[in-house]
Amino acid sequence: MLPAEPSNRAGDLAEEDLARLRWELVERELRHRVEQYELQRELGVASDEIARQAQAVLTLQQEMRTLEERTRASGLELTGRENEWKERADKLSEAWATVQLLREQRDVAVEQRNDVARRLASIETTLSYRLASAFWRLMTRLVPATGRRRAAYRLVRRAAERVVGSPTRTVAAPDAEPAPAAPDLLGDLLRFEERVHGTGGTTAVVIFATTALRESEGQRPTQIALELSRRGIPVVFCYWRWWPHEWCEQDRLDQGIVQVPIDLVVQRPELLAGLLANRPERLALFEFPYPGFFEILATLNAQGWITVYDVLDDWQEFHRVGQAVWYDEDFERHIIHAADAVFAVNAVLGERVEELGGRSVAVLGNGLAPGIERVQQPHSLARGEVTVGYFGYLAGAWFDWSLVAEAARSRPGWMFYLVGYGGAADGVELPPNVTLLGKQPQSELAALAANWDVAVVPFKGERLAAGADPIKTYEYLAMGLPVVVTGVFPPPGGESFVRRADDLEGFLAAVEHAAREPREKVDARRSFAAACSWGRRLDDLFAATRSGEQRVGQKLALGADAR
Amino acid sequence: MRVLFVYKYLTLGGVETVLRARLDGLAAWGIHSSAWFFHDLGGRSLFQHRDDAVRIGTAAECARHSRNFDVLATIDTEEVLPPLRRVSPRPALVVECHSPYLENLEYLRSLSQDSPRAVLVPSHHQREIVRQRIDTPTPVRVVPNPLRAAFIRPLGEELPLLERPIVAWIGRLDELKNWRGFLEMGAALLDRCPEVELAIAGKPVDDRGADELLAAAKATKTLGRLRWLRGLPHDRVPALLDLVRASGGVVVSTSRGDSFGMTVAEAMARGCAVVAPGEGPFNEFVRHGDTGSLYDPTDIVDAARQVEILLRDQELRVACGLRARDAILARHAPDIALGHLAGELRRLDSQPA
Repeated sequence: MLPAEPSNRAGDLAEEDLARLRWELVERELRHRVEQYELQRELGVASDEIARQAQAVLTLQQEMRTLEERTRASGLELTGRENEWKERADKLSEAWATVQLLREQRDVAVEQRNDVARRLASIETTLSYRLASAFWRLMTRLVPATGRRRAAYRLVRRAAERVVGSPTRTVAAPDAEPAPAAPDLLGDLLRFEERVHGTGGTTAVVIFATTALRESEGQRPTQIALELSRRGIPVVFCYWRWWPHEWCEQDRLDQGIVQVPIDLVVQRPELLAGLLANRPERLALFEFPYPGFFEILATLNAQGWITVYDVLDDWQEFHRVGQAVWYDEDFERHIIHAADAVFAVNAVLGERVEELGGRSVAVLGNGLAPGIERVQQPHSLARGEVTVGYFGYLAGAWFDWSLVAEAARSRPGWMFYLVGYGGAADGVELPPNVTLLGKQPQSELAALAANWDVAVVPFKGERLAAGADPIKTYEYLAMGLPVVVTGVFPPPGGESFVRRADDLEGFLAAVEHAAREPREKVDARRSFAAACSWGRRLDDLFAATRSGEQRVGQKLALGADAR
Repeated sequence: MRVLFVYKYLTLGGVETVLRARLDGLAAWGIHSSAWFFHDLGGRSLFQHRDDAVRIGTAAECARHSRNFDVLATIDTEEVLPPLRRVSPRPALVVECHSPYLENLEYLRSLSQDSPRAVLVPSHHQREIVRQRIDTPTPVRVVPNPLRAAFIRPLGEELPLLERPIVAWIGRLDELKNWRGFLEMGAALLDRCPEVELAIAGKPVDDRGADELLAAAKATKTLGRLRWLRGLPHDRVPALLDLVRASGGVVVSTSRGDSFGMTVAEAMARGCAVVAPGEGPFNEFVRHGDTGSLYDPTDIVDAARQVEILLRDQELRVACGLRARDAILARHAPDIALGHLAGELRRLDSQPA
């Protein structure tokens, strides 16, 4: 059999393929066109979007520019305000300094007033005053302020004046302005309790202090009271006064401190013992062993107060040199025994307390008040080859005037500045390179000390000084100064910053050496002083009492049932 | 049965505390009791939640009010007797006589006009004192004083021994309680045992008291070892006694006159070794060498000697303290003492007038 027309069939197949290919091409073209169209559409959308975003970017850029402008303006305003605040802070700080200064001036005025009142009281006890008073009383009765007798009296008096001249009035009339009223103990305590009642807190402290609360004098009881106040702990500050005419303004109630005279408090021990009874931790700090504390110590002990005898001086020695006339060794033995805890400002006093029968006495040194080292207003002094300075109490009982005078004579090129109060160089001639600056406000001390190369504590090498832990040592160190001492000891841990001398040669050598100490030691001195703040001291005190050290545990056990 | 107790002063004192215990405790014996005071001196808080049973008023008002009761018991409060004579019908009268101050007992010499059913006293010693004064054949009966609840609770774990033994004296600082005798004893004791600490818990009776105590402590050279707790609240006394016991110390009484000797009894209840005068009422409940020590009341150095023996002999001291506690609780625990009182009141009420 022959094959059927193969060439035609192949041609048909090729045409079919060709046609299919054409269709595929057409289809592809169509598809491409559709895709192209869609792409063009998307491109259009994307272009729109890009245009929109571009617009948004433009808007944002505009906004950013606006914000930048505003920021610049705010920055300028901020800088302005910052400057303004700085100015205000400076003014505030000045105002505080002024307040402190005024307070110190007020304290001085109060002292003067008390002195006048004291003198007036002694005048009032004289026979001549009493006779004059009796005369005036009689005259007031015989010649009343109104009436015919008075008119007749005036006529006679005028006639007498014409003959013998006008007398100078030297005696106050008996109906002159009365002396200021005595402090109202009950009222003050009640108002104080009411004031602190809602302030919360669990602690309250009573301080029996040897002086009034005077920041300018910076005594330990004052510093403790102020530190407690900074912590929001209410303080009853019982202050010593020699005369009933002396009294303190109630000017620290807003700081949580009420000030009451000791002589009134000890007359009514229940008043104080019952105060702030809702506070579980009540501490009473006795800062001196006054026998008049016998009853109030016993009352506070019975009412759950933790009683602390804070030994800050060698009172027996003060008594021996004619001060602390109230001192009684038997009573000091009693308070050492009857208090729940005894703290002493240094090891020397701690040993003395042990001699008087105390056991496990803890040393709690003096401290540093915040800000004392800040110079408020520079105050320049003439400098010497070495400039030496001292500030503080100048009592002859312990201040070694002779040493200062001898040292100044030995080194005429040096300058010595003494800032202080409470004594004078009686019988000691001071050379011209010793300058007495008198009592200065505490806020001024740093400015004065900034002129010194070396600060000194020139105390006599006797028992009285050995028992002291001068607060000024910490203050000098906080001001960055090297310190040279005689009579007293460096505070524990501060031996490398405080040189101790025993005589004139040693003193001069120590000062020369201290003056050459490198500047790098300034920071170390300041750091040491900062670690001795009153805040730290109080932390140590509370840590000891709260852990029941010494006999506080017994007191806590005694109160456990009642709580 | 309804009983009205009458006492002059509503303070936070010992008598008021006992009255509160009576008001609460006598109900268990079917006796409903109330208290009447003449003067409120700040003791209201002791009768918290029992205000209904406490009244304040004059003696005349009290006498009128007493008509609502079966028995009226006066506690050292003779002021109520004159108005009570005018009341009719009158409740049975019982006179409780606790005062150790002899000048306060003079009214007993004319008690016959009030015809009390009995005079109740806390000790045989007090009974003798009353008998010497009373002008009627009225029976004088001894009814034990109840200790307060805080003193009888378990002793608990011993506190760590303290550094120094505490020799304590508790009471009013008056001549009868003889606080000077304690200082004299303390002086003699410090010569023998210099390590001891002396403690006085008590309040003076007048403004001069503190100065007198200070002067006497200086004169006897005991000031340096004396701790004075002036006006220790009564709720802190058990804790003080626990401290004394923990210190290895002793409680001393130098009293020259007590109707019962509550402070010694309280010390015994807290397991303390006690030293007391060897005379009434102390010798009624302190057995020498067994539940404490008694000293010759005319010889204060003997007191120091007895204290020293107890301080130095720990075994004796601890044993005395524990036996003292058992002995005192056996008669003066509140439920036991109140049971005695309830029985006595019922008996007197049932007697014909």
